[in-house]
This record gives sequence, C-alpha cells and structure tokens, in this order.
Amino acid sequence: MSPRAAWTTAALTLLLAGPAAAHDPTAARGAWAPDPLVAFNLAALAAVYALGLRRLWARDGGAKVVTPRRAGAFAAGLAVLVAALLTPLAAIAEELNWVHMVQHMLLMNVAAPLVVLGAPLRVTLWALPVGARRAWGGALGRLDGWRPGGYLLGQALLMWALYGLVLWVWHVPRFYEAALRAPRLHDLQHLSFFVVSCLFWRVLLDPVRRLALSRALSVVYLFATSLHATLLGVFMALSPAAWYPIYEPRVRAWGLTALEDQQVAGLIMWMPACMIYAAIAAVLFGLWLHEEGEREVEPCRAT
Amino acid sequence: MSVGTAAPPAQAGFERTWQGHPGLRGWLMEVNNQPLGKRFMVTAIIFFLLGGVLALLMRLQLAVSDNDLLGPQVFNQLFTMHGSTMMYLFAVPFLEGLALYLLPLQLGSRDVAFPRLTAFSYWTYLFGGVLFYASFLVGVVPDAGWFAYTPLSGPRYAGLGVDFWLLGLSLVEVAGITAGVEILVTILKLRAPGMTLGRMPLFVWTMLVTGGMIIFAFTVLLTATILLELDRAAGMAFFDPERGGNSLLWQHLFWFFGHPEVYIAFLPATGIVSAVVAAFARRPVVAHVLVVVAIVMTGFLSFGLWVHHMFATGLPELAMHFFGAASLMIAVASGIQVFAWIATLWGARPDYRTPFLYLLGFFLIFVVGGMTGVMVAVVPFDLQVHDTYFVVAHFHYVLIGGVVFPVFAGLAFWLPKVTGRLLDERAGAASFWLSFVGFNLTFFPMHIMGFLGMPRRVYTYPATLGLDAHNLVATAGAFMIALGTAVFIGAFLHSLRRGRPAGEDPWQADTLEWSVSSPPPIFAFRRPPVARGRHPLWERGRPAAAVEAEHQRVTAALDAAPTTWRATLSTDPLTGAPQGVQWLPGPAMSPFLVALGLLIAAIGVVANLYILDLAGVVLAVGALARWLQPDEALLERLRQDPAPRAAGLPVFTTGAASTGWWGALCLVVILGTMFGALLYAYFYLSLFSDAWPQGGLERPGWGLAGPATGALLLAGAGLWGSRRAFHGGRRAAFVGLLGGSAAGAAAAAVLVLVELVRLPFGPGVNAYASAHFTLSGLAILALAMGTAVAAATTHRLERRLERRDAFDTLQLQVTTMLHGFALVAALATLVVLHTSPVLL
Repeated sequence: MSPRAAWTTAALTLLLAGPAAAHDPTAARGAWAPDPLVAFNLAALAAVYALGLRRLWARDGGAKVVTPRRAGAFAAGLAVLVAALLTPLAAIAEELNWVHMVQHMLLMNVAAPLVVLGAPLRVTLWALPVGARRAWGGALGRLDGWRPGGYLLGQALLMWALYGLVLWVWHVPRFYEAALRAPRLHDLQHLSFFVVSCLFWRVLLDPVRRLALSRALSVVYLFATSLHATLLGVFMALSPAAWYPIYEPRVRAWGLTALEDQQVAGLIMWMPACMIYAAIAAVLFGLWLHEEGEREVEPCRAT
Repeated sequence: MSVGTAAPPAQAGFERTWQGHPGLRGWLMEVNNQPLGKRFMVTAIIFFLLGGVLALLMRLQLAVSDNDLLGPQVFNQLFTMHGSTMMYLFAVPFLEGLALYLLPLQLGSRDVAFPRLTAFSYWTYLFGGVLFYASFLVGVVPDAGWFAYTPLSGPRYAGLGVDFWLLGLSLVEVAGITAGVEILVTILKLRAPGMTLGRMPLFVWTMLVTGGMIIFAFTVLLTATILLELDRAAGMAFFDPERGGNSLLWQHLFWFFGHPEVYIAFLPATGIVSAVVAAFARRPVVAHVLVVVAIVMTGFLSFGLWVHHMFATGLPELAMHFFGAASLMIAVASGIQVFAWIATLWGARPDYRTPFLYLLGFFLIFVVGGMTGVMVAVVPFDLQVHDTYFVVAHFHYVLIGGVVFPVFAGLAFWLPKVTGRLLDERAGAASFWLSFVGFNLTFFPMHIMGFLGMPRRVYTYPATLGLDAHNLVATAGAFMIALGTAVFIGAFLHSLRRGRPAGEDPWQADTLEWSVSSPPPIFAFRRPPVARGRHPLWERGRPAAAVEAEHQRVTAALDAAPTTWRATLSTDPLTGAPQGVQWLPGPAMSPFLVALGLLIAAIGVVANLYILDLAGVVLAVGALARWLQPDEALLERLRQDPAPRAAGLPVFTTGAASTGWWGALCLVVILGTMFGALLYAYFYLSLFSDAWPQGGLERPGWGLAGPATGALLLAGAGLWGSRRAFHGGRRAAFVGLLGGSAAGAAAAAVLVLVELVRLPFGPGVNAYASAHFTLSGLAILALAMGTAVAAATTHRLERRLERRDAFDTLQLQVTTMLHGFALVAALATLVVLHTSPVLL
C-alpha cells in the first residue's frame, strides 16, 4: 500500500467517526454509529503506520524490509478492524451473541494475524522523530536484552497460554455481561482480545523478529489452540441454559431466543474459528514443506 | 548411500552386544524392536482371528430368521467382544507393531528410542488382551457394546463383564500410549543423517501424526474408562443422572477418542498404501507436499468432529448443519490422498502381485465406504439409517476396506523382509479373490438390509421382514472371507519353509529397509546409512551434496570403531544432522515386572481383592524405580569410551537434542491431557447443574487450599532458583532450593489431602463431589510424582555437582519439566476448584 492509500484509509476512518455523536444504543439496529474513541485510535494507528512506511520506503532497500505485500496485509487487517468495530456490525453485536462472536473472531483470528504480517512495530518506529526513534529502539533493545523480558516475550508457550486465558476469562458470564453494560470496559475487552492475539500470532507470523518457534511447529501450536477453543465452543453450544441473560430482551427483535443465539455463537467458535486455525496451520506447514522440498529433485527409478 | 557388508574381525564384538539373552528369561527380558514388533503383530493377528471367529458365530446366528442358536445374551456378548477386539486389540496394536518393527529400518536407526518402553508396551498390551478374554473363562463376558455407553455400562445395569472390559482396555490403552510416545520420539530423534523432516517417507509421516493423535485420543479414553470404573467400583456419580451425573458425558469423552481413533487406524494404512503404490508404480507418489499436508490436516481436523457420531442424541438442531458441513471437510483431506495415488498409478505398469491386488481391493472398497460416509454425514439421512445395517455396512467398508486390506497389502509387501522368503503368488492371489468377493457378498447386501429396516445389534429378525435371502448370502460371504484369511496364513506358513529367498529388495522399492538383508540383522545397520533425498535407494546414482561428506565421515567413524554397548545415531529433529551417539539399553526384566504389577492391580480391582491392588502397585512402582535408577558404573564407562569422540559426537546431550527430554515432554503432554479431560468433565457436569456445587454442598474454602497455594508458589520459586544454583555450582544453595521445592510440593499434597479428608461429604454424594475428589486426587498424584523426582534428583546431583556434565544437566532439565508441570497443574486445579463455584 502506498502512503497515499494509507492516508486515504485514515481519512476515511476519521470520516466514519463523524456520525458518532448521534450514537443512541436503543436505536442501534443496523445503523452506522461508530465509537469516536475507537475511530480516533484506529485512524491514529493508520496514520502512524503510513507515515512510518513512507519514511522507511524513502530509504534504499526499505521496500525490502517491509514489502508492499506486507503493507497490504496491514491495510487489510486495519480494514477488518474497521469492519468489526465501526460498521453496523458493532451495533448488532450489542444485540446478538453470535454476531458478537463473529466480531471477536474477526478481531482475534483475522485482523490480528494480518496486522502482525505488516510488521507494525518496525514500521511505526519510523514514524517517530530520529531522537525518539533511537530512544524507542533502544528501549525495545533493552527489553530484549533484559533477560526476563526477552524470555517472556520469546516464550511461545506463554503466548499460547495468554491467548487461552483471555479467551476463557472474558467468557465468564459476569465479566462478559459487565463488558456489555459498560462501553469503556467493552473497548477494553476488544483491546485485550486484539493485543493478546497480536502477541499470539506474532509467534508464528512475525516477519521481522521471528521468535524461536519453527514453522514446522506451527501445526502443534495451532492444534493445541484449537483443542481448547473447541472445548469452549462445545460448552457454549451444548449448554442447556443461556449464559448471558442480558441478551434475552435484545435478541427477541431478531426472532431468536437467547439460547439459540448462544448455540450459534458456540458453533461459530467451534467450527469456523477452528477452520481458520487449521487453514493457517495448513498454509504455514505447506509453505515450509515446499521450501524444504525446493532442494529435492524427484528421481527417476534406478534400474 | 552405503551399507557395510563384510565385518572385519575387530567388529565381532559388535554383534555380540546386540544379542539378547537365551531361554525363557531372555524371552521375558527382550527389548529389541524387531522381535517385539513381530510379537506385537503376531499377537494382534491372533486377536484378529479370535474376533473373526466371533463374527462367524454372529453370522451363523443371523443366517436364518427367528434363529435361537445363540440367544440374545450371548449375541450381545459376541458383538461387544467382536467390536472391541477389532478396534482395540487388532487395528491399532497391529499398526503400532508394524511401525515399531519398520520405523528404525526406514529411518536408518538401529532400534527405537526407548527399547525398554517397547517391551513394557508389548507386555501391557498382551496382559490387557488376555484379561479381556479371561472374561470368557469366568463366564462374565462384557455385553455393553464396544462403546460401552452409560448408563447401560454403569453399576446398575451391567455386571462384572464390563469391569473386565474397562480394566483390560485400560491396560491396552497404556500400551497404546507408550507405543505412541515411542513412535513419536523415534521419528523425531533417530533418523538417518541427512533425512530432514521433508525427506521422510510418507509411511513415517503417517506414523508421526498417528503417534501424536494416539497421545491425545487414548489418554482421553483412558481417563474416561478410569472415571467409569470409579463409578462402578468406588460408587462415584460421574455418569449417574440421579446423583447429578450425566450419561452423555461418557459419549463426549468416548467419541473425543472414537473419532480420531478411526483416523489413528486409517492414517497408517494410507502410509502402507503410499509405500506400496510408489513401489509398484515405480515412481514417487505424486504431490508429496500436498499429501503430507493432507495427512497432518486429517489428524488436526479429526479432533473437532467427534459430535458427528452423536447426531441422534438430541443435540441442538442448529449444530447439525454445522456438523454436516464440517464432516464433509475431512473428505477433502482423504480425497487429496486418493487422487494422488490414482495420479501416481496413472500410466504406470504395475505387476499384479499380491500386495498390489490387496491395494486394488482397498481402492474399490474404501471408495464405496467413503461414499456412504458422505451419505451418513447428511443429517436427515443419518437419522433414518442410524441404527440399521446400513451403518454396519458403511463402517465395515471403511474399516475393512480402509484398514484390513491395506494391512494385508502391507503384510504381503513386507513379510519377505521380515522372513526373508517370498509368498507364493498363486496362493496370495487366491486369498485376495476369496477375501474380496467374500467381503462384498457379506457387506453389500447389508446396505439394502438397512434400507429395508433391519436394526443392528439385535440378535434375530422375523421371517416376515423378508430378509432371509440377504442374510444367508451375507453369512456365506463371511465364511468366504474366513477361507481367504486361512489361505493367506497357509501361504505365509508355507513360505517360512519353502518360500523362494526374497533377497534384499524384491520390489525395487525406494526406502532404506530394502537396503539391508532379509531378514535384517538384529541391529539393522552396522554402518548407519545416510539419506540423500526422499527416496534413498532410487538416488544412489545422484551426486552427493557437500554436507553428505560430513555425514559419511561420522557414520564411517562409527563403523570403524563400534561401541561395546548398544548405540545408535541421534539426529536433529528438523534437519537430521547428527547430534550424538545415543546409548540404548540391553535386555531388562523391569518392563515385564512393571506390566505384571499393573496386571495384578487390575485383577485386584475386578476381583475386589484390594490386597492384590496393593501388591500390584508396589511391584510396579518398585520395578519402575529400578528401571529409572541411573547406573553410575555404566555412565562412567560411557564417559570414558573413545568411540563416540572419534566420530566427533557427544554421548550425552541435553534439551531437544536428547531423547530423554522428548520423552519427558510426552509424559507432560499425557498428564496435561488427563487433567484437561477431567476439567472438561468437571465443567460439563456444572453446565447441566442448576447449582454448582450440586445438592447444596458448601463451597470449598481457602483455609487449607490457601496455604497449599502458597507452598506451591514457593516450591516453584525454589525450582527456578535451583537451576541457577546448579549451573553456578553452589552446592548448599542447590540442595536447599531443589530439596525445599520437593518438600513444598509434598506439603501442598498433604494439605490438599487433609482438606479432602475433612470435607463433610464423600466422593459418592453427587457428581460435583466425585469430580472435586477426583481432580484433587489427580493433583495429589502429580505432586507425589514431582516430589519423588525432585527428591531423587537432589540426592543424586548433590554428589555430582562439582563434576557435573551433560547427563546431569539433562537430569535437571527433565526434573524441571516433570516437577514444574506437577506444580503448575496442581496450582491450576486448586484455583479452578476454588474459584469456579464462585464464578459460575
């Protein structure tokens, strides 16, 4: 993505923030009612990334460090974030559990890996003035050099556990309902989902500072994830009672009961979400095997 | 690629180090993969024949309508034992035995990673199978189906037979899990130099995935069988709805195992098919990378789909649509493999010899089974045919077509390697045609019988159903299959005496096992082979890469100066670069004794003789301690041995370079899966309860759990610190920290135990109490393991601290993994048990 396109995205995002003043939760159904704070943050993210990208690409070989495809992935990730958080989807997610589930899946399993592919830390670093850039770079370096810091950031197992913890804990009824009642807590929920997912996917996809996990192991990493995500989905889908009674009055308008709504949500986490893990695992694993096989020449049979 | 042929006199000692002991004692102490792999396969075939006899008896009962040859009770026993035998005692153990025999030969290793574990696996398998069939002697045969659904299999409705089933099965599961670990670590660690993961043969890929699947699936089944036995023997309430339990919990746990189980049997069979297809088509299997991805994805996806066996259990209606769609997905992965084989054979001119005939039989039958599988994945259709003979026809087409025919193809293909003699081709062809025609005569009419309404698992049917002719044909077909099997076995026995010598490579195949003599020497390779590509034997003429010279130097050095102990090359799990000379144990009695202890304990449970349980556990733990005790004299001998140094490789390695680290990791995964399965049961039960804890029981307090949590955290800190003290060589700090960590774990275990004892209710009050007690009990067991390991390590490493080497570092790493896991698992259990009643 060119810097111009990035700026356009940012401007569009800001435009979308316009109608936010008219946000009225009772009349939300299908309406455009983006949260101004979220819109501002996304726009700022887009702007900083675009600025960093422009500076980086102005240097010799900058486009090799972060290729246009990677920048495109970031833009796509940002677009998914916008779709998940600022479109009517976000408003409907307040009323329907399963749409909320789709929104979370978009944040965690679509937007996060795409954004990670765009090397956000490396690029945004370039948006800073030289002094601040050095300071930040130095701070990152020190964090890496600080043994516990480097250790914690480098632990695939830790990232895996963190992702699982965030996923499970937010689904505890009292936390989930609290988030539905308080918009800022809801933002915190989405932010924690997104940030932790970025850390999670970074273990597999980070293009710049690839962590210790080999791509051959990506299958194991994602398999272990899909095992526990499946279980959470199973519980949601099979539960005889609705976990979040707060939805009960809201889902009626959509001709569902809260229980049916929850079953669909659980099934979405169970199958489509796990298909995403499986698909990414298959692609990473296949790419790795393919690179391994590049060196192989298929033989003719010796007679 | 070269394999040593002539032995200089200096190497005569080499062969002696690999010889087992003579006599019965030697037979019990055998640890080598080749004799044990053969025993596995022979035992599995014997169980296959027994299961076949049971099937013939059932077909006799069903040959005519309103038959009273056997009666309903015996019929129930027969179909239970037939299904259980074929699934648990034949399919998986046979394939594991084949893998244990074949993998070292295909990988270029001299033995598997943990030879004593192979022996243990074989003995537990044999004992479990014998216990299973001992029910016939006692006259209380299991009769609750191969799936043993509760409440039919619960204490109220089922007699002692189900106890035989559960305990025999538990032993067989332990055997399966340990063989899975063996397979996994052997593949990761003992490949020929140069054999990168990408260069592994497809059969090895299927076994790698299968090994991983076994670890998860069998562990969940083991947990489930233990829970059911707790219900039956200890009065717990996991599956008893009247006390807050849930019958469907059994189905979930069972099918979480049962669905992957189908692929655990099918994937190795596809590995056999790939090997035979490549050899007979005389070219590599097309789309190698895609096929490997399909194999891995089959394993991945098979764990999410267990509910598709439960369409008829009243799941939410919406779930059906998702599952119908997702069940079709797995057909894609199988489809990739089938199309790859077809493309490989396209335009090839195969010899229609016995292995290939069985292969063609597999294609035809399996594709029909796959088609009917797609049909039963359609939910409305499934509801219509679910309990009819249509489903019986479907899964026999899948299992016999997808597993038994490939197994016979594999037998015909590899038996010449095992025995050194070729099968008679005419007899082989006759056995194939008898089996193939007999199979279709037996099972094809069953599709129609299902449509016409013949229910499965019922001992007879009325003449008015109009299915007499169909059934008679099916019975005749079953006897034809038996005849075909008999001809095959006859041909095999004939070949042992009169068969033509097979030579090294009768099929001009591509993998390393065909480079050694038939039968192979007990050590497989005197000089470890080097892999140049995916098809070592077809690439002999290819120019060698630069890195290969280095590998050849290593193997030549090992060949020139063989060790006076059993050794094999240990290589990098990804790249296959040599990492060390791995010591392998010689004959040992301890695996047999541990297995015997488990058998005695199992008999004690069946017979309600708890003194036997005690004796069995003492024997097993004692023999295990002896097994694990490091032999200091041996270690010193290994340290002094100049041979590995000549090859430039260490004898002791640490971390992911060592086999011990991988073994410990597998154990951690197994224990973690057990905790996971129990936690699943705990939350599943809470999901269907109005209140949690059930029945107005008090929530567990933090009075003792709080101090226990503190002790666990301190123990964790001590473990963390002890590693630094070890590497810093500070003896007092090391002993204090690791010893203190062991003491902390012990203290936590005691506190949890006291808390359990002081609870005002017992484990049998309701399902909540059962789950609470069982989870706490597992945490106590884990802490006991952690304490024992940490204490033993403190004791040994204290003396070695000044002279510490890689072996000692590895011991500390393994201790850290096991003890650390115990601490984390116990901590998580305490937190879940004490917070979830508040949060839910």
